[in-house]
Amino acid sequence: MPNDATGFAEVYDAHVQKIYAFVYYRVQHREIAEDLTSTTFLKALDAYASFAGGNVRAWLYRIARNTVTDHYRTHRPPVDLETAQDVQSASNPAHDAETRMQLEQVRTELNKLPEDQHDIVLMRVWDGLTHAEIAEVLGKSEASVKMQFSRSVRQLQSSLPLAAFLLFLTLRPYA
Amino acid sequence: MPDIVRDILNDLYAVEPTLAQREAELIPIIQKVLAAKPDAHLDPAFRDQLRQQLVRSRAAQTTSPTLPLFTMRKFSYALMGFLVVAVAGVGTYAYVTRTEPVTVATGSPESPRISITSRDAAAFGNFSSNPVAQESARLGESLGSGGSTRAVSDTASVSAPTSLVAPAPVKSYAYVYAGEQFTIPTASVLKRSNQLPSSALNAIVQSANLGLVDLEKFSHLSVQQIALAEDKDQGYAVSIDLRDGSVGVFQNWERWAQPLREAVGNVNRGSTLPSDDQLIAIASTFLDQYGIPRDAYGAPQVPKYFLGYGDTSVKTDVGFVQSVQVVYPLVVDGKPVVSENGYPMGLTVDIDLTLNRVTSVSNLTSLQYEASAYSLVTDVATVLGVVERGGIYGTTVTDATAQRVSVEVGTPTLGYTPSRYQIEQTNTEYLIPALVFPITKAPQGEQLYRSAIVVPLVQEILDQQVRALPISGAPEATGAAGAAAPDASE
Repeated sequence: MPNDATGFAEVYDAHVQKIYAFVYYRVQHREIAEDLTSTTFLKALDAYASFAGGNVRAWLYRIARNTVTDHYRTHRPPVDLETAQDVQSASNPAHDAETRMQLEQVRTELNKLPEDQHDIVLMRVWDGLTHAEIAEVLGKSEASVKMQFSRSVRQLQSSLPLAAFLLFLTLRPYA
Repeated sequence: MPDIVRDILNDLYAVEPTLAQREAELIPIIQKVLAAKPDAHLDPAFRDQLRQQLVRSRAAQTTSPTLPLFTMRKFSYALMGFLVVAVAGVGTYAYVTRTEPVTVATGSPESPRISITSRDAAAFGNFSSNPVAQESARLGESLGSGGSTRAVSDTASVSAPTSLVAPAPVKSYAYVYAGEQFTIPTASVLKRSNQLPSSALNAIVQSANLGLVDLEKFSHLSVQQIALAEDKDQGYAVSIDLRDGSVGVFQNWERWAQPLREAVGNVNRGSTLPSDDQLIAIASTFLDQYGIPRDAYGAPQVPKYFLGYGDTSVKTDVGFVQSVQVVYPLVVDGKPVVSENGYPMGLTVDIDLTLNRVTSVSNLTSLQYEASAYSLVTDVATVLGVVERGGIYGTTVTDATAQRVSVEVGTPTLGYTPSRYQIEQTNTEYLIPALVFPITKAPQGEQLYRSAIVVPLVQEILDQQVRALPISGAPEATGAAGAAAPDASE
């Protein structure tokens, strides 16, 4: 039986870092991100016995995405990007202010995108999901995801200063 | 150049190839912004703590201790009461702290649909050696063999009645197969997926401070049961069990006047019952009024359990009947779901005939199932042996003074019969494939409480149940179902 306890432990170990990052990039607050990561994995554990198979990574991201959505639906609005810097320990205030300004530019431009495109861009660039995985999370075709991603990034690239666009790209979890 | 810088450059070029001409300019910018990158570093202590919590949750799911029934009920009632307060408190909290409505996404408004997800063979564990089945077997023993009068078993004190009231005549029911030849089909066991969505409710409760206790201080609280009530005359109460995936609707007793039977009169005999159409109209109107979808169920029926099977002449003498049920039968994968006595099961609406009002709705459950193949009995003779003794809860009466009653059953159809089994400490409802042998002929005036003999087909269940059944006056049965099946013609 594939959906056993050992299997779930392996799933947890393999994905907890990336799921945490996924949540963190969206709530941008460490404690909230930890709470929502916990909720995500507890939900996943409950549902694991009935997981029908397929891409477990996409399945986890789908649960995480729903958890974040629920959080915003029932709690406060997203934390300001300024507040998001609470977990950084930048030693150079001037540098920090510049980054904040760039982040604000990124957020402004991201928010101009339609919701679906916004999600696709974040999942592709920040979370490093493949187009196929994004398609599975969102219930779209892979071709549609590719097209929307390309369109969105071109729009961002044309509207953002180069440094801000690069900052946006560096937010992806390369590690 | 670090790999990460190269990765970013490649991403950039994929989006805009002309940027490659500006690589020398790009590299220091990338390095600069990398230094300021928000860090989504996962705290190792948190990671380990969550891992341990998940392990504990998993262990609790599979090894939760079985508490005595009374304790469980008290706990359940206390929890439900607490949640009533909690939900009310949370509602107030939400009202005063939010300007937009709280969305409680506990399900889509669309009609429930039956879904079945395939699993590996024997995926639900072993159905034998489970306490619920054994308890059911003992219960079956005490029920006798199917008639409305007393049938003996090896535990019945027939020879030395202690009551001054004369005991009912002892009857020995012999079920005789009078149908056509048949073969045993294949079918899977279905397990109902219990949980209803609760994440939105969890989020609300987790953030509530009720004054008596701050729920925010608890971690990973989840709502398990909710009790709600309409605060009005003849209002209804709603009990939602999110873990079991079931909803019950019943009278809010505090707000219902209870007419005495004497005041109403002893009018609801079998002959003067409202018509089935009238009863169904009352039930369907209620379901529609309260947004309970019925499109996943079959055409409603009004089973006359109280009339029994047999001569219609007895139906005017059934005494006072206060309530009847309208059943919207559940059909899963093309097979009807029936009780162990052969009556259709499904969404059930109780109607009080003295009030002409619905008093409860039951069997309103999630309709998502998992399917797993199990070894089914293949020997027709084994199945007929179980039929002849009255099903898996029947007994064979060997008392020489017992009155023999012969009941004929006809060609079976394949159905499901629900049964709860405790496997790995988890008590869950399963739909067990079963052959349903309809009762086709019974003696004049004989009242039976069943409409069919239902024989579950899963081999290990049959083995377990038949082995557990005593045979009155005969040596204890051992071994396989076939070996245990007695000859009803003795």
